[in-house]
Amino acid sequence: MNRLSETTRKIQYHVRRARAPGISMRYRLFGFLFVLVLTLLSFVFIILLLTGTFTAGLREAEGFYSNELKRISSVAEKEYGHVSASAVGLSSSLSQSMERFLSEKGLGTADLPEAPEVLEELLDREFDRLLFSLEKTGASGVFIVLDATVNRQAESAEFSRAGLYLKNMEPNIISSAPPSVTILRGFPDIARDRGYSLHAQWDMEFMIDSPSHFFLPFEKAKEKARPLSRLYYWSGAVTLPKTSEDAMLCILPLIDSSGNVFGVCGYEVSAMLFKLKFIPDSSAYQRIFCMLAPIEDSILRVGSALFSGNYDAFGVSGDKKPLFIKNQGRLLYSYEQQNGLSLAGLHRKIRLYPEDSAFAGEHFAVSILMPQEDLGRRLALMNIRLMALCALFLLAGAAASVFIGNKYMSPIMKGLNAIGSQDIDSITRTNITEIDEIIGQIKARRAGKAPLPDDIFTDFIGRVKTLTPTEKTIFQYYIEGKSTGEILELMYISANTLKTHNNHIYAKLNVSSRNELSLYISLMEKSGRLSELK
Amino acid sequence: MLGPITRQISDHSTEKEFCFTFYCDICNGLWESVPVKGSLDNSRGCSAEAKALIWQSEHDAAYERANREAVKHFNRCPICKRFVCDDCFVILPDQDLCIECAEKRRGDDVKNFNKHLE
Repeated sequence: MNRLSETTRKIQYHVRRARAPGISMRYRLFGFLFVLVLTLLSFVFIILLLTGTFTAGLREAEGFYSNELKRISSVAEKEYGHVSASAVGLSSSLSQSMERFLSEKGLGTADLPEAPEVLEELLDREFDRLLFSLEKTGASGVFIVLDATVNRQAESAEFSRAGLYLKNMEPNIISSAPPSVTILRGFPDIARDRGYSLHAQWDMEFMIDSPSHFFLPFEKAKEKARPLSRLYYWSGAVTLPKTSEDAMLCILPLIDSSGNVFGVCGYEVSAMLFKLKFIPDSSAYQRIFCMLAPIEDSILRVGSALFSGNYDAFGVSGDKKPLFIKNQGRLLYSYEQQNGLSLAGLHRKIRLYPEDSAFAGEHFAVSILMPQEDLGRRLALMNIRLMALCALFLLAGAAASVFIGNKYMSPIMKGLNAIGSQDIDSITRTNITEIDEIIGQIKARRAGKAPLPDDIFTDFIGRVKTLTPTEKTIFQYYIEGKSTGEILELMYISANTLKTHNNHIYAKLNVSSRNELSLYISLMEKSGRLSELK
Repeated sequence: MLGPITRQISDHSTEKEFCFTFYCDICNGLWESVPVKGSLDNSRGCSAEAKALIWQSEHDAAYERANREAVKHFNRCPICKRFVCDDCFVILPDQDLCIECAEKRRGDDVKNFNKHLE
């Protein structure tokens, strides 16, 4: 019952307090402390904002992308440049060699279409050169395509061209082991005589109806006399005929000493080779990938791109739709496909051609990309940690505000409760200056209503006894509350005489005025000692 | 009507105002009452008898007032009962009295003292 009544009393107290106007000190203090915590947190937030902490993740990503892009694009420029230079050399040596052979046969390069019987021997002679150059260059394939066909009477003779295509089935970027070569195009005896196998998709001649890129340099060479080094052409990634393999081809014309273009040659950089050579660092971002694609204005031609890295997760390569470069952010670009796919990253044009090349207007770019959502997720994770810390700080601040508030308020409330109680005299010092002052003032006021100490009355009574009879009579009249006029009439003395007696009385009783005298009389009356004055 | 507190009193009252002078019973030091204006100025059409009655009545009232006022300006000796001014009144430790009674008492005290010595 006691506990119940105690609880009820407490509830009633809190309800009464809640209904009371104004805000209690405890809640005020908590409010001020919490505002202080919020202010500190805001300052911390502003400092983090100004120091770029919230964008640190983005800057870190940009730094990573930037470094990877720089690395891969410089390697790509170097490697592709090496292949281009090798192709120029190959074209030159092949042109001279073939021209010499034909000359020995009493033929010129322009006679090739009419001399299909020499084609096999011609190509057979160049096999070793091709093999050697393939090994030296490190490309994934090498080829010659002559502007002649073996069987001019065949149905598809118009688009069929004789040639030789050596393909390295296991391009190895680490060791310098001999390539594992198969023959993709060419006379079968050339392969058998040397013990090389034919590719699964082998065909004897090239069909040039669909890939016109084979004869682009051919046509360019015919247009205008240019040095060979200005006539090489890099195709975008093409699917090799009758295969599922993509490759970029570096193609150059074969030109004899009189300027007659009689074929093309070149190297292949397969998708597999590209994948092995230009792997992006995926330690930080799992779904990052690299792409080498033709670029026109703000469009990356994905259909003609080679990829490396983890690009299959979302099928960008399978879709073949172009990527539109959009919304350059502060640090990274965003790239979008029409199907809704959104990527984030950076790209950079690489120089595959010299400035006066016949194909200088065509550009390629290396891109380092990843799904936009992956980047967003990573940035959010970093910021979530920061937000969690801020939330923790806020909670800790709130808890500290409550704790400090209670600690601060406890002695004050004790003092105030004691003041509210009747037993103020039993209160010892609270050691809170303001509370102790209030208690002191209340005690002094209460003491003011209490009877004066006895020694004051005794002294006063003693002094009264020193009055003369006349003075005593006047003093008695004062005790009775007589006015000055009444005293004058009763005692038959003049006003001056009364004034003189008053001065004597004041001096003897140690008071300064009639009011003070009246106060003494009043106090003694309240103390019940008035009769001692009579 | 109350008798004058002092033995000597002068009545300087006129038709229009009432004024009295009280004299100390020892030194004849005087005190004048504050003149009080009569109301006869406004009593036109009254008979002479009526006027005399009014004047007398007002005079008596003024005298009473002056007499009471005079008490505040004179001291009564408890011995001889005379009303004296402040100059002729002595405040002694045991009793307040007029100077003549104080002298007389001092003389008696000396006589008694000498007698005691004898």
